[in-house]
Amino acid sequence: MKRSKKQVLKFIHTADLHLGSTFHGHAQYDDKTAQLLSNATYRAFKKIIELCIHEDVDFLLISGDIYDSQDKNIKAQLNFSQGLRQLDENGIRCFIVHGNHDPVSSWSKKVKLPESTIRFSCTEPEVHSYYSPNGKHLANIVGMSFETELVFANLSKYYPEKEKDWPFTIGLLHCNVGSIEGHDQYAPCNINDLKRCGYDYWALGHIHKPGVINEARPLVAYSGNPQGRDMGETGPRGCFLVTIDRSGSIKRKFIDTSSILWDKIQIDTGEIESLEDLDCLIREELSDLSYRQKKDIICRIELVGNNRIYDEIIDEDAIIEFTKNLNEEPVSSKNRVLVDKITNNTRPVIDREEVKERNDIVSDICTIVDEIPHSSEMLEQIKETVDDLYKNPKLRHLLQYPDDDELLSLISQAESFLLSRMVGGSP
Amino acid sequence: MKIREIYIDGFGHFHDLKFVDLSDSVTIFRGNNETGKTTLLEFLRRVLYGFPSGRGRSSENLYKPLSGGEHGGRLKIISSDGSDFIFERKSGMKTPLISDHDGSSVSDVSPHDLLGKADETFFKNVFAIGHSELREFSTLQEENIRDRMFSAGAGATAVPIIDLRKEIEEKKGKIFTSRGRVQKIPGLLTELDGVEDDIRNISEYQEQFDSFNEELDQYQREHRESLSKKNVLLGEISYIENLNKAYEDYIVLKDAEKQLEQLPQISDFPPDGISRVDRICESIRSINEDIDDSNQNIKDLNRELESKRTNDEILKYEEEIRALERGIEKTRSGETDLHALYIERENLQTDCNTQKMELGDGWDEEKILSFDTSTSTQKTLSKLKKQLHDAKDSHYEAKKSYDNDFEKYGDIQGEIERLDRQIDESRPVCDKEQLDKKIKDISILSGLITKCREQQSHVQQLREKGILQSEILNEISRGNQPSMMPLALILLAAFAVLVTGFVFSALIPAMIGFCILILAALIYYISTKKGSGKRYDLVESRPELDISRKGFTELNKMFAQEREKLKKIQKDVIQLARQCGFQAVPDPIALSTSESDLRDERQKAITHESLLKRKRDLDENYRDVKSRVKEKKNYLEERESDLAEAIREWKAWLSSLGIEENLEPDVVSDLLTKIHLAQQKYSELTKCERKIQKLEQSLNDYAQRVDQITNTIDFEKSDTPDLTVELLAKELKVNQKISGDRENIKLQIDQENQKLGRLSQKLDSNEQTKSELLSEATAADESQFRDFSEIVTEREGLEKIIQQSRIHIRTICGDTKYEQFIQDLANTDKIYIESDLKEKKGELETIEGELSEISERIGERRNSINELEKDNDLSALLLKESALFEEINDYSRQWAIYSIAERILNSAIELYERERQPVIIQEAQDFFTDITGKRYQKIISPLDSREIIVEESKGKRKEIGELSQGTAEQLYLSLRFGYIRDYSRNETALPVIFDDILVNFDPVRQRNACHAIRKLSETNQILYFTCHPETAEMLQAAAGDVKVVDLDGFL
Repeated sequence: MKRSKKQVLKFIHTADLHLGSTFHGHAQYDDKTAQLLSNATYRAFKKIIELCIHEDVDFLLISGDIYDSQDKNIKAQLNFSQGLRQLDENGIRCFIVHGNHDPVSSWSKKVKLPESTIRFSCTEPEVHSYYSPNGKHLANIVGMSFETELVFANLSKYYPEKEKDWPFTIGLLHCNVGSIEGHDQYAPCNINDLKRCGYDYWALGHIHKPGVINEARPLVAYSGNPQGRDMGETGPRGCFLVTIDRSGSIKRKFIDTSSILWDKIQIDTGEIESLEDLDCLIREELSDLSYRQKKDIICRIELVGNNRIYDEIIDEDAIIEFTKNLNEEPVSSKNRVLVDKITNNTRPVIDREEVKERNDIVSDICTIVDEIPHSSEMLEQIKETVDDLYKNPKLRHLLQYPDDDELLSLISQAESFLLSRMVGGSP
Repeated sequence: MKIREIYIDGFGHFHDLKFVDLSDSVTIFRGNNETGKTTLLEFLRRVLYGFPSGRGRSSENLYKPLSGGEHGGRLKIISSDGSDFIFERKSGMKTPLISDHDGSSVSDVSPHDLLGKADETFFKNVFAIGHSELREFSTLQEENIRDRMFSAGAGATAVPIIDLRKEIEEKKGKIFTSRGRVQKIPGLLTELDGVEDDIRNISEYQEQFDSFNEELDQYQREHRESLSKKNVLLGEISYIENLNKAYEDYIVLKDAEKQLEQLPQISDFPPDGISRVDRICESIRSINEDIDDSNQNIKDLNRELESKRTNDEILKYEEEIRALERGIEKTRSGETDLHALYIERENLQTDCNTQKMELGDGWDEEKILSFDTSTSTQKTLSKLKKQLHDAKDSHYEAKKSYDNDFEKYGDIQGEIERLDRQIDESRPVCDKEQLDKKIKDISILSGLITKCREQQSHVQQLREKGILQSEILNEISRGNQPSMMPLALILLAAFAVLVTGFVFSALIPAMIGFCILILAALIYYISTKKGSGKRYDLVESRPELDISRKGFTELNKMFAQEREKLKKIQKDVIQLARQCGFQAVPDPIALSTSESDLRDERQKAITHESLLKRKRDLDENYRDVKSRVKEKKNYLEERESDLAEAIREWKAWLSSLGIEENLEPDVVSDLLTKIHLAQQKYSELTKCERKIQKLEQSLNDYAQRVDQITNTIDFEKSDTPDLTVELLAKELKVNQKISGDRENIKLQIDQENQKLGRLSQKLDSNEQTKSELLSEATAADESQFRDFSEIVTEREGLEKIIQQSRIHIRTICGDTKYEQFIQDLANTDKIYIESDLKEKKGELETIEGELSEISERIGERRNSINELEKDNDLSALLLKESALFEEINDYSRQWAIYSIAERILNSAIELYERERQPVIIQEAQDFFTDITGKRYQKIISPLDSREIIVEESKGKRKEIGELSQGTAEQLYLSLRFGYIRDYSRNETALPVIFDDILVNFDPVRQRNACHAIRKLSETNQILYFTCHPETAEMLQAAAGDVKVVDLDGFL
């Protein structure tokens, strides 16, 4: 029970738990690994509960998206209620607003949360007081939940302003401040709207990357999700432990609660002479990575550089075999390192300029490739070739039709493939 | 570019090897297998394009230098514009060293300038044709042949073009075809569908969660109701059973109560009365018994006491007897010692006598004892002894020394006499110096003789030379005038004949005569010429002979000089010989004899001198010895007097002691020791006698004391006092024991009396208690008392029964009030209990049935809910779904790449066919005509098909499939040549390497092929490797400027 006399108020702010949601990766893992990955969100939540108890906080704030309603995952809801019950047994309360992924309407009526948990209503903002065990009124928490998945109104406009006799006031909201790119425009709002209310701390949810939008009065923070789920969510993930002392100053600490880290690395294949070399190099890099980060990692490897084994690794089957091999034989004994995908952006060791000067069928290939961007006719031909697959009725909804840049990249790789087969590439 | 020279520093088994003057057109490298054709080939390629690093996947042969030298080498090449360069590369060098033909490096020329833009693969594939390539070609199927032809024309790439196109199509096809179902992507799609189905199923389940929970609640309610009903029933049943159980007890209770009323009451009965009374009676009885026993004991003891009696007298003397007893041992041992002492005394006496006798006559006990053997005597003895000894020793020494020297004195005298004699004998003839001189003279003489001889010969030589010269001169002067007169006469005669003949018109005989005469003149001329020639020859061969007059005069002068010299020497010789004692000039033998004699004499002189020296030394020695002898004699006389003195002193001392004078010191010392020993013996004897006395005395005392006692108490004596004392002691002990026993018995009697007193006390108290008890129960006597107690017991028993029954019933009735229960019991009819019970039990069964049914339903529902809650599958399935999705995307991308590659390749092929192929075909055509011996004139490739068609000279066209094996091969070769030539014309001409490509052709084809090769050599240098000498010949016949390098010779 870590609590000093100076710490008047202590709480943990988290959001976007997305319990039970899966990882979005490439590799097909064996059952055990799949199990590990699918339980990661539960493990992160468990860590948060343990943290609350260990730090002896007063309450836990959750700013929405606790689970993915479209999965209709009962286990997630039950797991969640178990966690809160544990908190309740330790005298820790919980304040929840619901977000677009877990609106009020989507929760099972049969999953009971402890009495001491407050779920803010979706019709209008509520103000709840928090009293310490010896009766002191330490904080007010204001919050409002999403009723359904689609809420486009600016909910912050309904929040009441802080009154004179209110103690430390916290606003709880699932929203999108300003316009942060890449996120759908649910419940947009403006930083000024938040400032208008005059609260001391805004606990926000919806953006998965942790960050502080505004430092001083109010402190506006996104806690981010406690466990990254795909390659877009790299970097540390966790929750904020916030402490307020007697003078009212706010100290916040970010605590990493993830058990698996997503990471991307680039490996230069310039010196590689064989597949065994590549395997060794990748293993070395991965074990370095594991040593640096000191936790389980899922990583995506981009191979770059000019190498001599281009024609061996251009084949997707070969890459998949390779990836599978890397995942079956663990790289490090301490922490797991899983390879999600290996992208081959290498090129063969062929001096294209030299080849172009050869004046034979091989140089013709380069000449043709150089001309393609300038000839709409040739582009059309290329697109026709690709249409066969991408416009296939069974596949069109699954595949993203390549845009022009993507097309040029494909053409370049095709050329590299041809050259590597025709020229040989050895000195 | 052409290669002129090859220098290998170290490569495989080649070391420091040079191939020079390679031909610009065709160079043949001929060598059997294993001579290094391949090695040489590799060398060329590596120098031009680089050595492999040795790392990497392939197990390439690195051709490390096995015979020494640096790994690498250089080539002398001539570039396309005619300049000479040296192209050098060693293993490990990334760029080659290019220098001018004289070795200075050039910085502005790169390998590309010389080799063109082609890389090693291109060079290997295009500019080299091997017999394996052709052999492979011959095994191909028809469609492949067509493809190969095409590829040959297109330029050999690492993977042949058409093969590459096929490869791409295959790879593409594995991933996806528009109608296919087994390819990768359709497979993944199917898998994805499956996973999505599973996900959907699970999701449907999730929705049932709420309804399941409601059902569960319902069942639980029903369960509770039934349960409470059951409980009520159970209660009733148990009540009835209890009544049943308690019934018997109830009956018993009632009976007991009735009996109790009938018994009389007894008050104040002492508790445990009967048992107490019984106990007291018992106690009294046993006490009486004990009293009787005690009395009996006392009687017995008194009787015993009577029987024991003691002897008081002996008891009085207890102490004395004890003391004597203690002394028994001592007495006994004393007796033994006494005996031993007697014996000892005898021995000692004997010893003393012996000692006395040893000392000899004149010695008796008194003398012995009074003799002083103390230390002072000893000291004196040793002092004198020493003195005597020393004197003797020094005297002895002095004498010895004197004798020694005297002997020496004698020896020296003898030696001197001997020496004198020798000196006389060995006197030499003359002294040494004279002899030396003589010897020297002889050697000079010998030298001179030799010189004289030499001079003689020299003079002789000169004489001969002079003679010879004059001879020659004569001859020459003779010969210098070979007469010409005869010659002139003959010639004149000849002409005369001729004229005569002419005049007389006898030309012919005149001619003949003329001729003969001319001939004779000729002969005569020739012979004279020969003669003088001979003489001149003679002169020529002896250049030292100076035949001039000057020379001759000089010679004479020299000759005279030398002759004079000789005369002088001879004079000297004779003089010296005379000096040495010879009459005439001696011969060598006489000389040497004389010399050796002289030497002997010389030796003798030397010996004589040494003898003289020796005599001088000896004289000196003689004088020394003489003086020494005198000294020694004096010393000896002194020592003799010392000795006499010492002896006198000794004798005096001995007589003072009373000992014989003539005894030696050792004997005296011995004597002293003996005396001392004897003295000791005598003193021992005295001691022994004293001991004996003492012992005898004490024994006597002891015997007296014993006597005294035995007399006093009138005891019988035994043989010896100690035995007596033993007996006494024994008797004493016996008496003492008896006395002790008597005391014991008396003690026991007292004890018994005491016991008796106690017992009677006890008896009295018991009687007292008993009478008290009786009166407490107000019983007159004991039997009445007993009657009372019986009644009391019976009452008690009944009361206990009553109590127990009550308790049983209370236990059974449990919670119910006791009175109520008793009431019910009273009202119970046993018969009805049974039937009631049965009815109720039946009801119970029904309800239990209901309950179990409900429980089952509850269990089922719970299970379903648990299943939903567990949900392991959903997350894993979602994961798999997402992975599959990504995989499909990846493979699609891959397929797109292959598709695009196919498209591009096709475009390139089209381009080639449109623009390049015609030219190449044109070139190939040339070669084809040659190589087929003009049988085929044309190669045609129609625009719209990939086909290659050939046209015979007669005009007949054939497709490739219709060609014979051999012709197809020829066509293939032509296409290759055509490509090479086209490339060489447009880019750079590089040397072409052929590896025995003609080996499979029949002779006719071979010859034709040679023509084609020759044609190619017009643009490219050809390096042809073969192991067949016939090939070499054939090529030489076809091509003009062919160089053959025999590799066998370079091994």
